[in-house]
Amino acid sequence: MTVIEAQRLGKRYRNIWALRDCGLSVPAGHVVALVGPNGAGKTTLLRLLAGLAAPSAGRLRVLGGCQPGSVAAREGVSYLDQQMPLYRNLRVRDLLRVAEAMNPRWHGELAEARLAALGIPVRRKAGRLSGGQQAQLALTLAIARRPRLLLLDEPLASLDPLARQDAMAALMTSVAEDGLSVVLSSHVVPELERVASYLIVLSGGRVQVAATVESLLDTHRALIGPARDAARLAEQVPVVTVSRAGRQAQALARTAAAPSGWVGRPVTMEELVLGYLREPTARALPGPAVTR
Amino acid sequence: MTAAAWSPGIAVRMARVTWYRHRGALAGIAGLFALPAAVVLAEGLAMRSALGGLSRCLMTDAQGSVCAGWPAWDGFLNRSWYVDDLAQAMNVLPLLAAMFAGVPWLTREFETGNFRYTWVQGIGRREWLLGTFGPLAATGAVAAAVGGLVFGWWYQIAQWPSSAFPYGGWSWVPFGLVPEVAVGWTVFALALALPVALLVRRTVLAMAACAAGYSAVFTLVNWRLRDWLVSLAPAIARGHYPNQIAPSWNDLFLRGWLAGPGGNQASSRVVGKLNGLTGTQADRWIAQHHYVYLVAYQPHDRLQLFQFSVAAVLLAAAAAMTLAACWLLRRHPAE
Repeated sequence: MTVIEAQRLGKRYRNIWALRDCGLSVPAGHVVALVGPNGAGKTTLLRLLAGLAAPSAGRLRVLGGCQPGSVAAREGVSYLDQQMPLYRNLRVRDLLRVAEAMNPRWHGELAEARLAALGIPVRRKAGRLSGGQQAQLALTLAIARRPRLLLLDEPLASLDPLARQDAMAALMTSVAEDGLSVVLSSHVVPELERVASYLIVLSGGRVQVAATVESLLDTHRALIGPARDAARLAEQVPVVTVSRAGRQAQALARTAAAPSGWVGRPVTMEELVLGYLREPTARALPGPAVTR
Repeated sequence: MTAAAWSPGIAVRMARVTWYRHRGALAGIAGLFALPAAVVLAEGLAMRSALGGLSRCLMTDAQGSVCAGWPAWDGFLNRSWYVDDLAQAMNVLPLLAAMFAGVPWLTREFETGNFRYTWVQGIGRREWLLGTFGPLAATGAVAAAVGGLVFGWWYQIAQWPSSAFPYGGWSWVPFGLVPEVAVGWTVFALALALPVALLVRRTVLAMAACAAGYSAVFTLVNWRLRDWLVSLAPAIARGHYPNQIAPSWNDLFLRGWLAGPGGNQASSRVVGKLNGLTGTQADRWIAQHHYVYLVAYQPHDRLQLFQFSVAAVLLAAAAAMTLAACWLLRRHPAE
């Protein structure tokens, strides 16, 4: 089953296309890293998936064919954005009651156990919790709905490293225990590298990369060779980006083996992401390779 | 947004959500009517007690002139001088309910960004809107009904000795001091807040817009719609020329005219001629020339029918506002 299926998806705000001609087909069970520069369309894509916005063009389906925002989609999709919207004037206990009343699949015991384990007092107003506690509370409310797809738009951005690590660990526990799919938008690529199994890179409102991390790492190599041969490298392998330093050149290429005269080594996800972000016209999508 | 089937289960769940999230607003609406109602109830009881001590003199003269100087009469007057001001102020209560409870519950969703949490839950946007509005409107309706009952009772007592329960309740102040009209205005005001809040999305601005909208409709209803309604299907009776009064003091006089022998309205020449005569001469002239003076009026027993009619119009307008809000919610998504 695919949790996200998009065909020629577009979203326009007045005369500006925030997303255009996006095609995606993400299988279930992945932790998807959604990366891209500011203004790339990450938040727009997540809001479309959550049903908070409607596409201007194309088709978008979640959870194997549900229209975002439909009853079935709302029951199966949780969304949490960077502002961590909470009713801050309510006590945590009342927030749980509200969430229970609004969600038929609510898992109250899970929520209470999780909050107890995190030491979050249920009698305190949400607005009086620390930033880390608020993030954990928001995450708990999202997870206890027992979604099949969890959309996270940089919800941990404002947390200190320790709180981020705790929240990420809690998230991964839920992924492992409940088998849910997660789309996680973040600028912190090394953090995503530890948890992501699928990568989507957006740039300028278009999908630049969409594939499993494993396949991307298998099919890309960092190549090091003489700078004078850099111009001819593109004739031998699909090159994503090349940088030169003195007589040496380093390239990111879509190949499993290094061509003669070049030394190849495996790439990290961060190198892969940065390589594609430096070259917005390059593509790594299902189908024929599109590189410079 | 897609339409989910509305069911009693969703209504109950949303009533719980509304209780947890907006119990302050619910209590505020109830208190807004309950506090003035409690005050006028106490005042009404005190005035009724004072009038009880004046029954002998009021039997002689209902206007109270015979009672002048009696301590109980002074006590009554001391309590009733502000009645009209207070009665008029009570027409503002529905607007206050809309401004301070009807608008903020919605605008704050946008100001805080909480709609990005609320709108992705298991309950859809339309169900959320209606499920929250329902308990607020129901609370407002019950509070306004009880308030209208108490205000109307109090106003009658306050006005009774001077027979000034104005025009038998046809003037705009007592017309609205009954449960059905109070409910109509309150539900309408709360419903008006929905599309206003969805369009403006800022609390203070939306409160101002709501006040402007309510004032416009209030003026339109009380000085246009009500006049038009009471002009429909009037009763006709013979009157005494040129008195502009209905057969009974608590009927609503609409107009009077002279009808000639053929049933046609008298010409301006005839009216001019009559204006130059004394009352007795005019009566004699009218009898001799087989003219008759007719008055159109609304009998007092139709008052409640008109009050229900105005309430029905307001509730229909409230339904239209609610539908408009649902349409806006669907048409203008979150971004």
